[in-house]
Amino acid sequence: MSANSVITLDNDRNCLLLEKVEFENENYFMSVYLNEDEEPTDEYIVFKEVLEDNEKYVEEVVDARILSNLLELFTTKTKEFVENNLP
Amino acid sequence: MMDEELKKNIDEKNEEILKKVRNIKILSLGFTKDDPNREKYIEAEKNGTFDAVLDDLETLKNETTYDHVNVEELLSFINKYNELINNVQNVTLQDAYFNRRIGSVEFKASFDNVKASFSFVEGYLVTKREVADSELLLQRYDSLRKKAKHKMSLINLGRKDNGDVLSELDLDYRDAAEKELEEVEKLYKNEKIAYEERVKRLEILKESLSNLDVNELCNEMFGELNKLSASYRTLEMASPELRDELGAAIDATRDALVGFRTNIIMPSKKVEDLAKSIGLKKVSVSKKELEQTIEAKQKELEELKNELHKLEEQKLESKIEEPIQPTEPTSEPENKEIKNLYDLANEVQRLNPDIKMSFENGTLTVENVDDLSTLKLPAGFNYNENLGINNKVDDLTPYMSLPTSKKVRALDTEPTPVKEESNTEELDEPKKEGKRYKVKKTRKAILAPYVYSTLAYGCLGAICAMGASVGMAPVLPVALVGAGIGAIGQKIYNSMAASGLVDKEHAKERETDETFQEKTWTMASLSGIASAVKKKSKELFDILRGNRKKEEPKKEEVPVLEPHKEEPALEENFDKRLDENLEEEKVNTAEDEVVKQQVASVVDETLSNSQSQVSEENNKNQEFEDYADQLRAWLEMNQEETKGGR
Repeated sequence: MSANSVITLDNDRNCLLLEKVEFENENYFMSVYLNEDEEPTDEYIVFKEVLEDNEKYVEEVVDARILSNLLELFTTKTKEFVENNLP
Repeated sequence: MMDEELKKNIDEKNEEILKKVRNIKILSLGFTKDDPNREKYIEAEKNGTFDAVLDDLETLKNETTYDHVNVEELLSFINKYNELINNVQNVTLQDAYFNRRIGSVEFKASFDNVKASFSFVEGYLVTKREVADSELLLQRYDSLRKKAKHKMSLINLGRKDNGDVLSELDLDYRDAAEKELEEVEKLYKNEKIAYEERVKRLEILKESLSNLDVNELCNEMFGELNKLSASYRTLEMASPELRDELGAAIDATRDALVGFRTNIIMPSKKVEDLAKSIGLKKVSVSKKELEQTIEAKQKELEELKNELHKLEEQKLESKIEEPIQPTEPTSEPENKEIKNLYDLANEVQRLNPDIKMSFENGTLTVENVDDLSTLKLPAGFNYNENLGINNKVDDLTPYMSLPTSKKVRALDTEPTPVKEESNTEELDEPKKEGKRYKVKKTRKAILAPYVYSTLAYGCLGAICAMGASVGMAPVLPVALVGAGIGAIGQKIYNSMAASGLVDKEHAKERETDETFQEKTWTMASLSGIASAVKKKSKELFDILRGNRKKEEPKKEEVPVLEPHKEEPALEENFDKRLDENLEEEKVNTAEDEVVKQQVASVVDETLSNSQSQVSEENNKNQEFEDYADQLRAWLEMNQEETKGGR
């Protein structure tokens, strides 16, 4: 999975993957749920990518230690993007 | 008995049972081994195709009306056939003109052949019916004869009681009884002679019929019917309608023959050919005798099963009697009797009490186990990916197979112990896991820079809030990250304000009116903005930027931040949750206080900046308003187009 993509979960909800970072050999995504009209909601979430039995899964990250580390990584990445891409 | 010997006996018994089951199946399909074709039987058995062909035979038999060309079916067809043939005859008979024509002779000859085709079979069937009727009649006469004899014996008994003296009435009664017995005896005798003659005739016919190739006969009949079908068109008849009627009668007869061959003969031939290919032939005994044979075989099978059961019990007992290691007394009792999948699932759970399992819809789901082959299983059972937990020995022996799967993740968020991999203090705490979802579909999304930036900014705030709720604060360099997020927000706002995308007109309402509804930055509108920026407004932005640089060279030094609509809520939430969290965990150390103050100061600073800078921005950027208004108007138009497009 990569950033800038929309995934459909098994609960039929769509989720927009905004940014991807690697932490402790795992891939994490900063993402936002989309509503029925495919518009972003105010429900944000951090997912871990899981590959099991050739099936793709995402797992909600709720662990404080991981979240704190991810926050730093995501902030850095977003800052870079904003600085490089916004006028 | 030694274990090995016992095992050998059990194997032999299993083999014997399998053979018996197969024999019963062969017989119930109406076949038996054909000794001259014994080689085919052995070959099929060696190739392992025998049981597959036997299954095919069973399916074919169930799917068709096959029953060795059922006599009743045959008789039913003959009746229908005769009726149809008579129809043809009736049509021709009623046409006097036709009967006088010379061309009709050939037609009549073919017709006679067609009519006579089944007379042979018909004769057999009629005789068979006569035999059955005669048998019933004979039984009836026999019953009457027995009654008359009984009556006579009663009269004779009465004579003995009265000292050989009978009254006149008794004498009349005795005479009538004697006469009745005599008549019944005569009837019985005559019928018996007739019955025996019929049975003899039937035997002869049956023997002849056994050599009859019904398929060949049908082919001959088709030939004759085709001749009729071809010739009737050229016949001279009184009216065209009558000729059409004759044609319809011939076609109906042929259709009936086609149906008979398709439904009765062909499947029968197919089944017989299939049976022949594995060295089987039709049984030659009567249905009743066949049923008796099958019954006897089934009794033998039951006995064999009982013997096997006893042997297995012996084996089990010998295992239980084995001495148990005194140092390791097992807490697991011997396997319970496993009769079905439910028993098996229960037994597996019993043997693995620490592992959470569920048995639903015939499948055992095991939670939190990486490798299912590590499960403790009942004796004789093993695990493989295809069959799940099973006791399969070989392809022939019946076995039990319990589909088993790992649960992807337990839905409850029970903490999973973290392996000792890291030296950090935090890792000593249990790692929390969130819900897991399967990804059904993935597709690319085109995200314009503004869309990405605003959403990413919102997400970072949300992570702060999430972190606060799960106790992230003590391990988070909050001030550092908070400052980073603040800088991102500033940059986004600066950029949007510079591009004229910020709604400054409602700045006051936003601050003072709680019911004020912010314009929603939907995906569509943001995409519209972004694509507009990307495709058509690059030059405008360049001009704006250029002007701004000229007019305001120290732009970066003046922080301009108007919070995104989610920003106050997130920060408020973050602050609130942080407070709650800190209070809950009673983390009142000086360090935490410092961290808290740092966060609060960042938040306060950001908020105050956002309030003051709105008015500042209004004053300072007045010169850009013209450009901004132009751009806003153009973007609104573009937005409308985008919405319309969607």
